[in-house]
Amino acid sequence: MSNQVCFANITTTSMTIILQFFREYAAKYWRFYTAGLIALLCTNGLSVAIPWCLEQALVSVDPVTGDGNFERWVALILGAAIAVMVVRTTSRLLIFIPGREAEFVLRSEYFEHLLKQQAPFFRRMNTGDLLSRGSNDIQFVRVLIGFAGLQVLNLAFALPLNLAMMFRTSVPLTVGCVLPLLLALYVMRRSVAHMMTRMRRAQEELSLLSNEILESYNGVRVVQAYGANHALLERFSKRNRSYVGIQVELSLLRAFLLPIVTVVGNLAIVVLLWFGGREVASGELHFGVVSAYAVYVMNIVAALTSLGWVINVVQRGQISLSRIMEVLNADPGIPACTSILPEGPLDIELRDLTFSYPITGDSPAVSHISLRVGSGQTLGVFGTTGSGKSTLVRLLSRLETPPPGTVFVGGIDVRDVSLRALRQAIAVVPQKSWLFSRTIRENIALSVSEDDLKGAVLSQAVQDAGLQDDLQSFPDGLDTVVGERGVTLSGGQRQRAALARAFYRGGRILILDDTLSAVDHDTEQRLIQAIYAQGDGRTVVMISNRVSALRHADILVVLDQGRVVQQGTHDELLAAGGAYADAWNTAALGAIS
Amino acid sequence: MSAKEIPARPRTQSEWELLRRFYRWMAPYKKRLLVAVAIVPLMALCTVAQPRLLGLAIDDYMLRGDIDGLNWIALAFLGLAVGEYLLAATHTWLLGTVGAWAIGDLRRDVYQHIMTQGQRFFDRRPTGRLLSRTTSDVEALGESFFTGVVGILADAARLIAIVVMMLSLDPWLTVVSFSVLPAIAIVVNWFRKRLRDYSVKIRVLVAKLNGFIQEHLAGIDVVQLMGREADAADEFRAINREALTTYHWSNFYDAALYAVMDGMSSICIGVVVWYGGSLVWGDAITPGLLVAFVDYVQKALVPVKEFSAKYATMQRSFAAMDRITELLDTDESIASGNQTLSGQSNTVVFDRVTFSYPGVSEPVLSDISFRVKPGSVVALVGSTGAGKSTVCRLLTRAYAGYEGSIQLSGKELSSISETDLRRVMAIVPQDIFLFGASARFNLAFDDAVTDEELLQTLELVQARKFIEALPDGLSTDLGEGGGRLSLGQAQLLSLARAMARDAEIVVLDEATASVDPATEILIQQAIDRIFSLKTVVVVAHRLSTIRAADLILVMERGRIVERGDHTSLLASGGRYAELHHQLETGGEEHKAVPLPASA
Repeated sequence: MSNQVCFANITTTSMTIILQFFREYAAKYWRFYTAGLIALLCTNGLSVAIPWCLEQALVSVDPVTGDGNFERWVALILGAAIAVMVVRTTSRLLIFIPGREAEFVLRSEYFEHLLKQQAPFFRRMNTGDLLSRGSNDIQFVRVLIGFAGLQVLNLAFALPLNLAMMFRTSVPLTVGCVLPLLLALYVMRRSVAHMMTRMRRAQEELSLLSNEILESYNGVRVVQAYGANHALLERFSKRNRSYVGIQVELSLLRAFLLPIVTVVGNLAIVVLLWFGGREVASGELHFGVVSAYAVYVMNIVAALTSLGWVINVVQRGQISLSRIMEVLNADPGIPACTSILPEGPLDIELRDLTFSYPITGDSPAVSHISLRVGSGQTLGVFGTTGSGKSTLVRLLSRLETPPPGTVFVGGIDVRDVSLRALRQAIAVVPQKSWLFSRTIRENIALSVSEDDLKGAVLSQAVQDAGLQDDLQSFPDGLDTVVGERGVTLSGGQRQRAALARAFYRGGRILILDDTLSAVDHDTEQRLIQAIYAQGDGRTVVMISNRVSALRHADILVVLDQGRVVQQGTHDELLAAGGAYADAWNTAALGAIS
Repeated sequence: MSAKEIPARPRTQSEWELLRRFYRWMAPYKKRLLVAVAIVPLMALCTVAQPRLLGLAIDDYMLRGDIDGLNWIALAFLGLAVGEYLLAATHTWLLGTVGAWAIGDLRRDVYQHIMTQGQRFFDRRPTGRLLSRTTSDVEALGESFFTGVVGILADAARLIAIVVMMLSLDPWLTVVSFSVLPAIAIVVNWFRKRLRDYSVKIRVLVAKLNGFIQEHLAGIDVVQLMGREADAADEFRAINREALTTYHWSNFYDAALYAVMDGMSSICIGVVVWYGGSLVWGDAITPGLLVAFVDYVQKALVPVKEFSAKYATMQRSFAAMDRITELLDTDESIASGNQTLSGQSNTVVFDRVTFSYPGVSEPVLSDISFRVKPGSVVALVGSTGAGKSTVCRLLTRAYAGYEGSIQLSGKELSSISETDLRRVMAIVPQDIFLFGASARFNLAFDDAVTDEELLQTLELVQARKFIEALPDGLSTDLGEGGGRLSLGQAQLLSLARAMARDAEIVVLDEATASVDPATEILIQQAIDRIFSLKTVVVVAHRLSTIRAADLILVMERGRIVERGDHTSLLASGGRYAELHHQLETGGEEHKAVPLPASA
């Protein structure tokens, strides 16, 4: 979907985006560009001068017409050759540097901007797409302003200079040589476009194939246990064949269409031999001139070959640029902060909170929820999957923006508090415990700089989260790397690590979103003790579908389809009957039998 | 980042050995390959004839005023140009197709090889690495082999033809013309080496940057909740800056290399004109020959300039080939036996089985013995790490190399044929895995099963309703990892998969992930059905599952510490009674589940 939006953007606003980009990222390098242009002009001047010197040398060695004084022309050729090395290097450097610098700035800003985006943005864009914008698209933009910039400017000098030298020799000959080249350019241009479409398709096929392979490898246990190797191989082979098919198509295009400019360049040499040769035979031209002329023709062929690619690079670069700008211009939609949180313990209040996700449309994820949790109290939330528990957590921690006047922390609407301040006050242990592939220590501290300062705090957090015993089984204890390149943590260990992270961070409100689901009963009870023991006025929100985890909460709410269907203490809810009481009684009944 | 980079492994096989092995995949396309190779000398001839013709045109026709002859020369030149184009295009095309096909076959073989490996193989290799062996490495091999290895051969042919031609025309002028060549080769090589170092460094840094973005996007909630934005941005900027500096250096060498090669060709021309000019002036050679030599030198420089780039490509392709063949040489698949099994009444026997995972000295199972009678249910209980899942893995032959004996109907497990084993035994792993394919594919793979039969199976595990509610019923694509289904539905489907075939024995590793009570009831009922219909070995976490078993084995540290049925074990007041008490007060595992009739 986002692709279509992009393409629509290009036709309508592509110029605006390119201009915006140049204004913001490239314009400040104007000095580089100016100097680069001068160096480029020198380069092209010299590369036209060399064939001209060759021409002069050939004229002067001719025993019939020459003066034999060709050494000075040779000296000039050698001098120009050395000079061209210096100015060409300089020109390329001067024009490439801004491209790299802009890439650096663009990439940093892109990443920082992503970190600022809120949940609605991430629901709209998928991660793979954002990643490919951050890597491929940024590279295309760099190529656009570095390589393509250089080639375009180079063409701007090379074409007129070489053409001028050719016209100087003979106008009809030049027209005869250049016309077929223009035709070749057209063919080349079309074939590059064809190739690009197929290359993109090949890329898509390859990523489908990779998905297929990854899925097979991940499910290999099931595949083998069910003797399904053959079925999977068939699926794989289908994808593999269609990928190979595109490669075969590509190889045909690559072989026959791409060298077209070169072969037409050779045809221009035939024209030169034919007509130029006649003029040499009739004494109107010197053969040295014809030799130099051949060099000019080849220079133009080289320039035109690059033009075929440059046009594509520019087009692709434009698409990439607009894809990046779409992200950079996206407004994170954070309301202005107008209030600050009070000092000390914080209470939580929800006033008739109704919230629906934009994608699911009309049915709200939570509706008409009102409740109050005094500072230092514990709120337990009980409910089935899909009852709105996690949405509640996301709203409290402002991962989702609640409607105005519905969610209050310390008496202040969370919309009015800066995100930074709010999140410093709230520690959340989310349902999915995400760990970075770095050391456990870094995963708990999540900030390298404070490591040394808070060594004691860190080990206390590890202790409280019950992670101590697990650490002993890891090769490097706290400094064990987690993930692909290190140890794999079990579900329970991940949850405990996430808990330690929250303990380490502290905060006046602690929210646990079904955090203890993967730990056994003993550990669960121990951790709940630890959570209460952390105490000192901390407000706790504990979400679970385990009665055992909730029974000690000060207030319990039972959620069903986004609504609070029951509210009270453990004893009150038991007395009232209902889902919570049922769950508790089943447990008790089990114990009796 | 604290993670260490994995150092590149030195290559273990010689180029010839690798080429010989790789030829296996090209052999089916031998004819095309031969034609492509046969074209190479013809291409070289076309290349070498053109400058000579130019020289002749000048000497014998232009300077003598022979206009008719000039027409013929131009025509011949035209023929050469078109011929060279057609030959080169055909050559490239043939190689391209052979490459695409051979690489496709190779990829299939690598895939097949990996898919038949035992669990041990996967334990030590992250899926990501296996994926890149099958895609990036195979791809790199395809791309680099033909530009690298074949390209160097074609260039060599061209260069030899040019040098031979030049020597035959004028040996001394040839020697002088190429006098600058060693200098060019040395300079170009020097620059390339620097460039290569930088490009390796850049690849690592770019991978790091992308990995960094990926990780922070995947964990964006944590990043924002824990206020890590500023730290992350700083770290990112630091890696980004390192990349920038590396890029600048690489740019410098790149720009300089390009310019130096360009300048060096001009120097060559200067040298040829200087020495050749004096020969022309002294009437030792004709002007046309001088022009031809200028042209030859230009043409000879192209392969010289590209040699080191192509050599690097070739090395890359050998490295990829080495990694791929190393993988193909590693065979940790578990051999199929040849004993057959009757379809029914298979007794499972573990007789003093001891097993340890590779590289771990302490055994994970010691002296395990038990017997599962046809139609009965055996439950394995115990804390995490007691060895319950390992029993399942051995029974399903995910690992080999145990001591003692595991028998099915009196036949040793390792001697039973793969097809028969898979026919009589179905497995439900703890980690539910669904493919991004239709529900039908997920249930039956490519077995010939009618929709009606599948729906009946689904009915059995109470999954028929939600599958039928999907837009295309059984044909509905379940999405990546079965993402279209809820966790509970996925569990039910995984149970249905085991029931969809006529397997007599079901090995069930109960899923621990919590689902809502309503689904929990459905799952429990499905498991009860399986118990009543099959011989079951179950790793049980739910109390109701445990109680329904005919035999309960309590495991601890790889040993069976207690055995018996629920009542007798409870009465004896040992480890089982303790576990039972824990589960009960936990309350949640069996909440809202009707008690089994037998309890």
